[in-house]
Amino acid sequence: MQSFGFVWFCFIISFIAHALLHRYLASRRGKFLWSAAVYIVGAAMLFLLWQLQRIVYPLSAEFLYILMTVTTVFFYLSLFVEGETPSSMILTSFQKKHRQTFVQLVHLYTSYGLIGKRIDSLKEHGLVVYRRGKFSLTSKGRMVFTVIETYKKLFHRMSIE
Amino acid sequence: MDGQFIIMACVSFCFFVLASAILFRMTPQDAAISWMVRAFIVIGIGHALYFWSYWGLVGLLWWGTMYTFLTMLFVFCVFSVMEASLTLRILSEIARTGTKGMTHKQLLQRYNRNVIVKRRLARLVYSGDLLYVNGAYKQNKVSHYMIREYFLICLRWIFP
Repeated sequence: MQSFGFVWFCFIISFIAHALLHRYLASRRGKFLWSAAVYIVGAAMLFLLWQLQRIVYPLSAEFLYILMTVTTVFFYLSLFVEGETPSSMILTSFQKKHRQTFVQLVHLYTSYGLIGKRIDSLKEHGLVVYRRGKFSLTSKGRMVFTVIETYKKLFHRMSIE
Repeated sequence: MDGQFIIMACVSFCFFVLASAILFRMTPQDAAISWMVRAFIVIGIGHALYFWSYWGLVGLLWWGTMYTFLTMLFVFCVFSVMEASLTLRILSEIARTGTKGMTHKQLLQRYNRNVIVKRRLARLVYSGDLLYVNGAYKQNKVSHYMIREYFLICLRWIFP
């Protein structure tokens, strides 16, 4: 039980350090996404506790810590990389206005906000190119598309959007 | 024991993924999330009852936490991204035109804000997060999506 507590302790300490470092870097307009690297310190703390023989299940402790870190970093990055999702915008709009029609909800968005920004992001990441007035996939983009198609076949998902 | 927790958490997770793949073939597309929750609970309880006599409470705590985090990673990093990412949908639309490519106008004809909002509203009504009454939408008192939203609001507050 003590080992389990140590994992949470190291994670919480790293999480607080992450939040503080993020705020510091963001206030200085630095590359704040790198603040997530602070979780390595937590992993090192766990390793040290293992060396001091305070952890009974070292493999499980490190594995659990990695799972917690990957989940947290994913949520953290999703805040800044993808931005607010359309479903999220729809739901939060009901906090201000309790009853809305389809037309009102459509007007929450602009075409650029929904489509244009995403195309820019695809171009920026080298997945799509714009040549002679047309968009087409790069080899990297085709690889991503193969992954999407494989997922759809495996999980029988017909319409992904 | 140490390695067993990891291996069995991975086994339980594989059962969950397999069960999801089977259930998705048998149930409506929009009901995916509720069936995943059921699969997670049933597999979790089934395995917990089996492991109880071998590991006791401490072992179950290790295994259960790992199983939960593995499932969360799959749901939020794979399932949610594949199901709801607009970026991936746009990429798929462009991919379907092959080497011919697609103009901006063609893309907007196939996939525009009306289509996007309509699809999401249908999903939110199906999941019970929104109600459609007399030609307008209103939020249901119990909203599952809002739990995630509140969580993200907290994260945005922590990481401004």
